[in-house]
Amino acid sequence: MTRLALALVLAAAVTGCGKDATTPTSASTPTGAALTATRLFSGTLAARDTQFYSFTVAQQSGVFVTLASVTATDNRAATTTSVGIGLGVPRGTECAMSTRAVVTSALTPQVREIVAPGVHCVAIYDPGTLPAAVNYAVRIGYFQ
Amino acid sequence: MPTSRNLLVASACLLTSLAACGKNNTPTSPTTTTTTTTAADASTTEQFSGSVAVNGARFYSFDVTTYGTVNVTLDRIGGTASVPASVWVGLGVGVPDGTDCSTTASLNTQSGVGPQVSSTLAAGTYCARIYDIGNLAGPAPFSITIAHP
Repeated sequence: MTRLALALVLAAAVTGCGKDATTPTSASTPTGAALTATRLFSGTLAARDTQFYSFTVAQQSGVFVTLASVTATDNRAATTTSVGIGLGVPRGTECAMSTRAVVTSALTPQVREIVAPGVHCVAIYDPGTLPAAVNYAVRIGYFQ
Repeated sequence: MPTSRNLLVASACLLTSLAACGKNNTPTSPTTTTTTTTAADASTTEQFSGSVAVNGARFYSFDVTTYGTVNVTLDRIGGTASVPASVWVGLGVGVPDGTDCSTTASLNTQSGVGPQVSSTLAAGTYCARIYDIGNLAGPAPFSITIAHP
């Protein structure tokens, strides 16, 4: 009986060692690239016009740019008109594009690129084919 | 029945265990490391000119390559029939965000010897913004100098 009591005391003493405020009590959730940020860039693009949208990426991340819709300004009917979209960094009064493509609207990203942390921009421009102004919506997705 | 020897061994184990407790909590002398970062001078100059509309705003993006001081000077504005050169406008520094420049430091100012806006910034991409604060009666041509590391 006394042996058992001694063993319990010894076990309790050993078990109590090493406990401090910083000892994790459960598995911590990994932090980092867990959340996806989505920005919507929309407006009206005139013939020969360029517009851009800036956003900040906190860590190295893939950026996915989707020209989601292009519609006529008068009756809002969807069109298959091609426009240019690109990804780059803001410089002066423009977006200096490092990647660009002339595309029609789609459900999947037409431009994708891995970027470093910092401020980036997505531009939409008339590649010289717009007969008139169009409404557009561009979806920008990245990990935050 | 426990023998005296067994009790002695158990007691020794207990004392050893207890003595080991808290070893990793032994306070150590704090070490103070002081790092002084000196703000770099504005060594690069960029010119931003154009015209700001009534109730409008314009901005210009630039890169700061190292921690340092950014100076923004409104050299000239107005001077037209509808906008006197003494007009007050808003001037600021911030970060490009969306379709505009989100300012972190700004003020209302007239043109003149500056800088009117000065800010110490880390390396990164920033923007200078000029905007109408309700004083413009017509489009106002302007010229801004941005000096940064």
